[in-house]
Amino acid sequence: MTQTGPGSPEHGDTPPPGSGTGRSVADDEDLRESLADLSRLATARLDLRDLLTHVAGFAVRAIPGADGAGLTLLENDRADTIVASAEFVREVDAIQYGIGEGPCITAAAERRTVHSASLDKDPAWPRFGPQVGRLGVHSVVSLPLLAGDSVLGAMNVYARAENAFDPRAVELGELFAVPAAISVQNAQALAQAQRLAAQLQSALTHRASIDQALGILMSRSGCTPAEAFDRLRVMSQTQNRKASVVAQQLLDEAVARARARHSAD
Amino acid sequence: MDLSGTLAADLTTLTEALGRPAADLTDSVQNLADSMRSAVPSWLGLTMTIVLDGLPLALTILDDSAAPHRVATSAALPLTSDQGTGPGSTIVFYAGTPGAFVDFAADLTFALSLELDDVALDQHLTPPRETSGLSGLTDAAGLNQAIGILIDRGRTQDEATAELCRLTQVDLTTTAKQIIRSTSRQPRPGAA
Repeated sequence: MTQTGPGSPEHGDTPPPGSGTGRSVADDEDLRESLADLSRLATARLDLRDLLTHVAGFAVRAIPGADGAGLTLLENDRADTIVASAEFVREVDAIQYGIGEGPCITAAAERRTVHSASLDKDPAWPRFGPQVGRLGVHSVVSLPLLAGDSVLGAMNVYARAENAFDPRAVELGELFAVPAAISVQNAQALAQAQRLAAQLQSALTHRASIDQALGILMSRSGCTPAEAFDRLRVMSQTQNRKASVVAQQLLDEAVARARARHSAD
Repeated sequence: MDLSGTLAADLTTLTEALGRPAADLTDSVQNLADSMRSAVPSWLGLTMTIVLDGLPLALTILDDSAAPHRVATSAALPLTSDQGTGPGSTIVFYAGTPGAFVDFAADLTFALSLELDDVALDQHLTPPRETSGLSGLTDAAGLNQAIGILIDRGRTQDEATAELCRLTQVDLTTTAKQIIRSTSRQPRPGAA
C-alpha cells in the first residue's frame, strides 16, 4: 500500500496538471469534463444512490487507467450507502465489506489517500488482496471524501491491470475528490431532510388514526383522552397486538358502521 | 443540540406511531443535524413544517439556547409532494454566518428542480421557538379525537371533518376542544 497526499514524497514528485505531454493534456481534458459533469449533476433531480453512481462514473473518466469505481457513504461510522459504476466493483466491494478489510475502509478510517499497484501481493490487506486478485483486479486508488473535520465516506477506483495508477492519476483522483465530496455532502443532507420529512408525515398519519380511535373510545365512555389512551393500551396488551393496529381496527369498524347506517337511511 | 425532555418524548411517541423498527425519528433528526453541521459549518438549526389535513406541525431543532439570537442567515424551501408531504410543508435552515447558505441553496435548487425564487434566503431570521421542540402536536391530537367522536356518532371521516369546519366559529382546534369537553363524562347508554 502506498500513502499519498500533501506532504508525501509521491505528491511532491507529481507534475502539475497541464504541464507537458499530450497524454497529460488529454487527462486534464477528461478531468475538466468530469468536473463539469459533476457540476451539472444536480439538474437531473436524482436520488442519493443515482447521484453517487453518476459520481463514480465520472471518476472513472477523470482518473487515467481506471476500469471502474465505487462510492461508499458512512453513517454513524458504518458503510450505509454503497454504489458502483460496474458489476466487478460491486463484487470487489462486497468482499471488502464482508471481511471488514480493504483500501476504502483504510482511506475512510485514516482520512488519507491509499493506493496499491498489486493488490494480491499487498501486505496491507492480507485477506482482501488475494481474493480480489483472483477476480483479476490488481490496482486500486481509494480517496476519502472529506467535509471539514468529518469523513463522508470514500471513493474506490479500480483497474484490472497491475501498476495502472501512476502518481499523476492519483493526483487527478485527489483533485476530483474535493468537488465530489461537496456534491455528495449536499446530496446527503438533502436526502436526510427528505427522509425525515417522509417519516414525520407517515408518523403523523398513523398518529391521526390513533387519536381518532381515542375519540371513539371517549365518545362511548365519556372518558378523558388520557383514560382513553390507557384503555387502548390495555386492549393492545390483552389482544397482544400493536396499539396502532387495535386503533385502526376500532376506527375501521366505526367507519363501517357509519357507512352502513347511511346505506340503510 | 438538546433532544431530551418533551421533544424526546414526542419523537418517541411519533416513532411508536410509525411502527417500523428500523425507523427512529430521534436518529433521523440527529443524522440530519450532523450532516448540516458538516455541510454548513455555522449551521444553527432548522424548522421543518409538515402540513397534514390543513394543520401544521413544526419541528424546530436548535444547536443550543443561544442559537436563536445568533441567526444571521436562513434558507427556506418547500418540501415537495415527492416526500408525501401536503401543500405548505417547508423546511427552513438557520446559520450564524451571513451568506452561509448561498452555495448550499444553489445546489438544493438544482437538485429539487426548483426555481431560484423557491428558495428564500434570509426571510426567516427568527425561529418560531426559543428551544428545540415540536409545535402543533396537541392541536392535531385534539382535532383527530374530535373527528373520532363524530365518527362514533355516525359520520364518516369526510363528514366528520366537514362538520368540524361547519361548526367552527373561532377556529378548528377550539371547536375540536369544545366537542371533546362536551363528550367527556357523558357516556352513552349501552356503550362499550
